[in-house]
Amino acid sequence: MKITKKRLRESAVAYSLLWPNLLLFICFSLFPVIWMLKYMFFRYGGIGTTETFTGLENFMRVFRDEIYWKSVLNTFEYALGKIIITIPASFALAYILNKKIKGSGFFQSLIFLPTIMSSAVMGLVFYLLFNVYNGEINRMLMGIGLISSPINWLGADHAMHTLIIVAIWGALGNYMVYFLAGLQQIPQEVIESAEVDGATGFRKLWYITIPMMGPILKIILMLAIATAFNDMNMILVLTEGGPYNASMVMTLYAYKFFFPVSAANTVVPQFGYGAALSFVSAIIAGVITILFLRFSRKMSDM
Amino acid sequence: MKKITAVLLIVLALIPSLAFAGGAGEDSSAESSGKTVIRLWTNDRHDATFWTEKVEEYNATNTDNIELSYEIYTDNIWQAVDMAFQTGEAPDIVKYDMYFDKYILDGRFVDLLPYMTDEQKELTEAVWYEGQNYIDGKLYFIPTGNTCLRLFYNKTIFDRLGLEVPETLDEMVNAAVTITNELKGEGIYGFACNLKSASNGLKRSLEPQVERGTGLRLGYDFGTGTYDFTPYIPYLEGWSTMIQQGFPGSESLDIDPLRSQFAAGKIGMYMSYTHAEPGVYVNQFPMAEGQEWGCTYLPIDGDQLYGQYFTGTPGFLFNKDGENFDAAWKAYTAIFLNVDNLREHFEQGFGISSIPAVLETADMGSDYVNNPALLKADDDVMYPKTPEEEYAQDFIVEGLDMYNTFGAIIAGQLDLEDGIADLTKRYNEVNERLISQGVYERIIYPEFARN
Repeated sequence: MKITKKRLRESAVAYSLLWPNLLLFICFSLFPVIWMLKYMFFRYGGIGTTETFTGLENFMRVFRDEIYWKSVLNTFEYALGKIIITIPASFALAYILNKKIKGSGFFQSLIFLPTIMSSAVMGLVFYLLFNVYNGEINRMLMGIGLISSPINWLGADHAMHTLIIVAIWGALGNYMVYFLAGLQQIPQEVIESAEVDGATGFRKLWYITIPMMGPILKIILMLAIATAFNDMNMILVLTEGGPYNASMVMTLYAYKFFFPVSAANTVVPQFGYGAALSFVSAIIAGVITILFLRFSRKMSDM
Repeated sequence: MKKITAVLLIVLALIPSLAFAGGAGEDSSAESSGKTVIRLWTNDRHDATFWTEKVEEYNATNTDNIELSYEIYTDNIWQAVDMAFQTGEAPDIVKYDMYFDKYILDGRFVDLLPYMTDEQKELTEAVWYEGQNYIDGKLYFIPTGNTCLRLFYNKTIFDRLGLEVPETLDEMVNAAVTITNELKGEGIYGFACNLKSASNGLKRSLEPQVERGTGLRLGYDFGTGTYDFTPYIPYLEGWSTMIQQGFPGSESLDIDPLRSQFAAGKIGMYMSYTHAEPGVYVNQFPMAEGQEWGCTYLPIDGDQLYGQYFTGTPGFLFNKDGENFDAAWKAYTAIFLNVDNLREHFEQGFGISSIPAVLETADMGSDYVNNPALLKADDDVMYPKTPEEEYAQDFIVEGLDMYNTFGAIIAGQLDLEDGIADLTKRYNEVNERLISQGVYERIIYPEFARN
């Protein structure tokens, strides 16, 4: 009897701690998802308009929509480009800055700085740097003689590359911190015993550090994939997905049906179709994550 | 001890919800000061300094204990208003935008006619546009100004190269190419457009130009009740040349960076709204030393002239559920329907008046004397709504919309003939389907037919 009372009190404390978060989760995560699951079967133009049940029509339209599938391809290009460079680079940075050298704390903070910057501000600043008519980057590259005429960084041919560069700049510090945390968890004894056995430099890194980082690397990669597939803010500010959808990613494409970015009088919100696009996009991102998890499990079995 | 800890934790846990409750109390503080607070939402930034001053003056001097809160939004105003209506927090007054037509139809705004004095009716009668703000004998907003689309050009560059101000499409394209060829070395180019968002850029340039030259509105022919984008072809060809040989990076330009480069003397021509530009080059981006702008009508292909759309702006809508309509109307008429304020607004170049009493008595600034094209002309007309506008919720065209198709054609990303044929086909399919489904009858206005 006494035990149950104690338990009761304990769980009361636990629930009292839990409920604010739970409430916020229900309001701002669960409710919108349920809302979306309903409206993806409707034609609905937002508040002040009528809703009409259309069954699977929105989904059929998703599969006819060439721009969407192009934006899915773009998303893969963006995510791959970002992850392939960010992960090794941020690991290298973390590895170097983890050594107790002078100024490593300063450089850690410096590299982490972009992470706390608003991605919208980043977009604006990078527009000033990258624009073709008086951008600082072209001026510098021409100054050192690397290019002879300005590169149209935000034009159809390069917009995606520019976005990837900016995304890497913004993500490097973040993943560096994850890796730093991972590196500091490696027991010193293991490394010391490896050193006693004569392992040095690269061999120590390759045979001890990296395998020991396995579990945390898996989590970092999963986070990186999930984030890269949902990136949107900076793209919205820098290119709006253009020019001509060249840098359109799937989340931004769906977003535009909820919040038409331009105030053109012909653009009306299409909440139902946007919801269907979001659903399909979530499935795609989910499938990729599951595939990755399977793959990484197999890798660790080997 | 444990009990105290538990109580403390529960109190801590309650803090976020208490914070929510706190938010709703904001208004009451103003009321406790005894003032009736009226909220007005607008997205006009170009004349913010002017109106803020007038509002402050009114708040300080009015004897009705009214305080108008002039709240300026950016391009999020549409969502903000949607949200506000949903939560019952809509402002008393909101600046009209076509996006709010759905609320007008829904009866959410006040018909102003019963509250207007005979004087006010006489003052504003010229801007009661049937089907726009004057619907079925009810007046929902009063657009005291107007804005039309024009070609803005750099006079200094034109004089320097001895170029004539273009009147036809060919002349415009030739001038653009000449400027680029002659002055590219100095970083000066013939033409630019804010194409970062194709719809934002082209609705304020290519579309009114094509309207003026062809009589089509958003691709719709009011004579036949069908869509036909074929007449856009010569314009798209001209635009292709001008953009591809024009200011680099048009495809990623917003309007303000464009204006800043125009002010710096780097751009020969671009198209924009008449209500904003004169003020922009005084307050926002003063023209560089020795640079002078000029304004002319949109050049067209051929000599048959049709109407091009213009917009009545700003007009203000009054929330029917607002608790203080009388105070809102009082404040509005004292500030925004005040002939002296309107005249000053016009004279200082913050907007172009549509009110005859203002125009007749205003001291025209030199911008207007030198550029009569800034003022509304007879061929600036109010088009009836096309099916796409009138039945926006039903008229859903899949794939690239017209503006994005044009954008892709201009950039050379899409074949001109194929793109236009496909566009015409897709728009007509939707139009015919909705007619056959009985959503609407074919929309025809013989007086807007192309000859």
